[in-house]
Amino acid sequence: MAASVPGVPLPTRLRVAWLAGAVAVLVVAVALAVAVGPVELAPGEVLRSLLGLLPGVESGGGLTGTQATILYQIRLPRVILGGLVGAMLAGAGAAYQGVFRNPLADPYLLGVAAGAGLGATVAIIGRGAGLPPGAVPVAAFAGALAAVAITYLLGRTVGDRTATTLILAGVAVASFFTAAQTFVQQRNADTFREVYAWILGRLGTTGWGEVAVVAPYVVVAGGILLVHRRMLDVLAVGDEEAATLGVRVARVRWWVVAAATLGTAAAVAVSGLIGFVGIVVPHTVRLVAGSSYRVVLPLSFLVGAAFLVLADLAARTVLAPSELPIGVITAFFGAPFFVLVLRTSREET
Amino acid sequence: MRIDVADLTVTVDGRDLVAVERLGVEPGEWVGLIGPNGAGKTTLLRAIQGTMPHRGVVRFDGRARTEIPRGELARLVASVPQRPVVPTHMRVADYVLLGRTPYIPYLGVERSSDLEAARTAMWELDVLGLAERRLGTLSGGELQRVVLARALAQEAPVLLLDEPTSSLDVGHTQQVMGLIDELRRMRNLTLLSALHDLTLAAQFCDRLVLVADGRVVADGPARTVLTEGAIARHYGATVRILDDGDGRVVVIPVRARKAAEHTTADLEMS
Repeated sequence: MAASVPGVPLPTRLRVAWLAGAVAVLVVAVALAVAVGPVELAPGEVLRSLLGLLPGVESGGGLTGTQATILYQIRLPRVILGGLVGAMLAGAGAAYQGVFRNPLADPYLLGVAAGAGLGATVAIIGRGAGLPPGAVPVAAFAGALAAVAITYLLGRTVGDRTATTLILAGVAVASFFTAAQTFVQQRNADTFREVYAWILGRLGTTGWGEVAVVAPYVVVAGGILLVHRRMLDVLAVGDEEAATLGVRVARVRWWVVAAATLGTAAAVAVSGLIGFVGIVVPHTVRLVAGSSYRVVLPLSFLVGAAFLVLADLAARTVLAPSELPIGVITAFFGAPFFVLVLRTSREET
Repeated sequence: MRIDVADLTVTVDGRDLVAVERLGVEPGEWVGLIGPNGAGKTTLLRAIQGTMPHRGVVRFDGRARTEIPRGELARLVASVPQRPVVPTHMRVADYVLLGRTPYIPYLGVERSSDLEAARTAMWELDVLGLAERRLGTLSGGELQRVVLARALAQEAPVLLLDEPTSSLDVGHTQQVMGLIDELRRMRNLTLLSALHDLTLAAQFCDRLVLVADGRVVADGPARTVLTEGAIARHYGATVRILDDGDGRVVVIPVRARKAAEHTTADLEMS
C-alpha cells in the first residue's frame, strides 16, 4: 500500500502499541477495582463467572451467592460507571482543548459545572418540598445544558463569534450561575453538607441504574467526538486558515461542543463535579503519544476510564471503611503524577 | 484561472480600508501588490479569498466567488498568510496534508491520491526530509517552505501569497521566489502576492499594482509603476530607479538630502 512507496508523507495514525498499552492499563485497572474491597474477590473466579454469562459457555463459576451479588450489584456497576464517567470527562476535555485551541480548556469551561451545581442544589433543597431524590441528576443535567446553551447564544450574538468570545461568555455565565447557586445554598444552610458532597463528586451506585442512564450519552457523544478527530487537527491552524481549507469552522465547533457538553452533563448528573480528569488525562496522552487528535482523542477515552477507575479504588480503600470524595483523589494523586509526566517529557525533548 | 475584482470595498468602523474599482489578474500571470504599510494589501487579499467581509464582486473565471461552494473554492484558491498560525507540536507531514482537506470528505481520511499530492508538493519545495519533524523545531526558511508546500498540496490554480518571503534572508528569499516562479510555469498557476520589497517585486512579477490608502493608484509593468515620483508620493521615500541591464528595474533607497537640510534649518530657526 501507500506505506511501501518511499517518501510518501504519512499522516499520524494511532499505533497499535499505544492502543494495546492503553487497553492493557484499563483492563488491569478494572481487574484491580473489581477484586479489591471489603470482600476480596479472586480475579480468576470473577473472570470465570463473567465468561459464564456468555451464551453457550459452561464455566461453573466458583463465586458464592453473596460474592456474585457483590460482583454484579455493587462492584461491577460502580467500576463501569467510573470508567464511563472518566472516559467521557477525558475525551470531552481533549475535544474542548482542540476546538478552543486552549490547553487549559476543560469540559466545565462553558458553564457545565456551574449550571449543574445550581440544578443539583435546587433539587436537593426541593426535596424538603417533596421532590423525589431522582430529581437531583435530572436537575443537574438540565442546569448544565441550560448554562452552556446560554453561553452559546451569548457567544453568537455578542461580539465576533470567535472561540474567545465563546470562552468569555462561558466565564460570565459560569459566574452568574455560581452566584445564584451560592445564594440559594446560603438561604438553605441545613442542606449545606449534602450540596457540598455532591459538588465534590462521588461514584455512588445503586445497581445498574446510573450506568444505564449515562452509557447512551457516553456512546453517542464519544462517537461524535471520535469521528471529528481529523477535523480537530485542521482547526489547529486557526479559524481563518481552516476556513480557507474549505472547513465550516462554526459548524465543526458546534458539533464538538454539543457532543462534549451533552456527554459531560450526563456524567456530571450521575457523579457530581469530578475535576482534573479532563485536563490531566489528555495532556498526559499528548506528552507520551504526540499531539494529533487522531491519537489524543481515542487514547484519552481509554486512559480517562482507567484513571477514574483507579481513583475510585483509592477513594474507597485509602480510609476504608469511610470513603473519600473522588474529586479529592483525582487532584491529590493526579497533580503530582502530572508534574512527574511533565518533568520526564521535558527532559526527553 | 482569471481573477476579476469589481467595486470591492471593505468597511471597518465606518472607514473604507479598501476601495478597489477594478483589478484583474490574467490566467498564469504573477501580479505583485505593492504599497506602504497599512495601505490595505493584506485586507485586499483576505477579501479576495473571502475571509474578510466586503461589498462588491470577486470572480474566478467569470464565476462570482459567493456562488462557488466553500469546498470547491478551497480547491480553486489557496493562500499563504503573512503570519500563518503554527501549531508547534504538529508533524510537518500532518501539516502539509492539511492542504488536502478540501478533497477529503467531512468524516473521511486521506487516500493515496492525497498522500501523493502532498509528496509532490514537499518534493518540489525540498522539504520531504523534514516530514517527521515538529513545526516548532524548523528554522524560519524551512517553515516558510513547509507553509508553501501546504498551499501547493491544495492543488489550486490560484495562489494568494501575503509576503511569502518576509522572514527570509536575501539568499532564501531569492530561492523561494525563484521556486514560486518555476512552480507557476510548471502548474500554470495564477499568482497574486503582496510584496514589500520593491526590487523583488520588479524582478519577479509580470505586473505591479500599487495600492495606497486602500485604492489602486497605479497598475502596469514595473517600469511604469515604479517611478521616483510615485514612490516619493506614496511611501514618503527617496529612491533611484535603475536599470539592471536585463530589462528589469531595481529600486535603490538613497539619502534624502533636501529633506534633511530642511529639518536642520527648521531646528536652527526655532
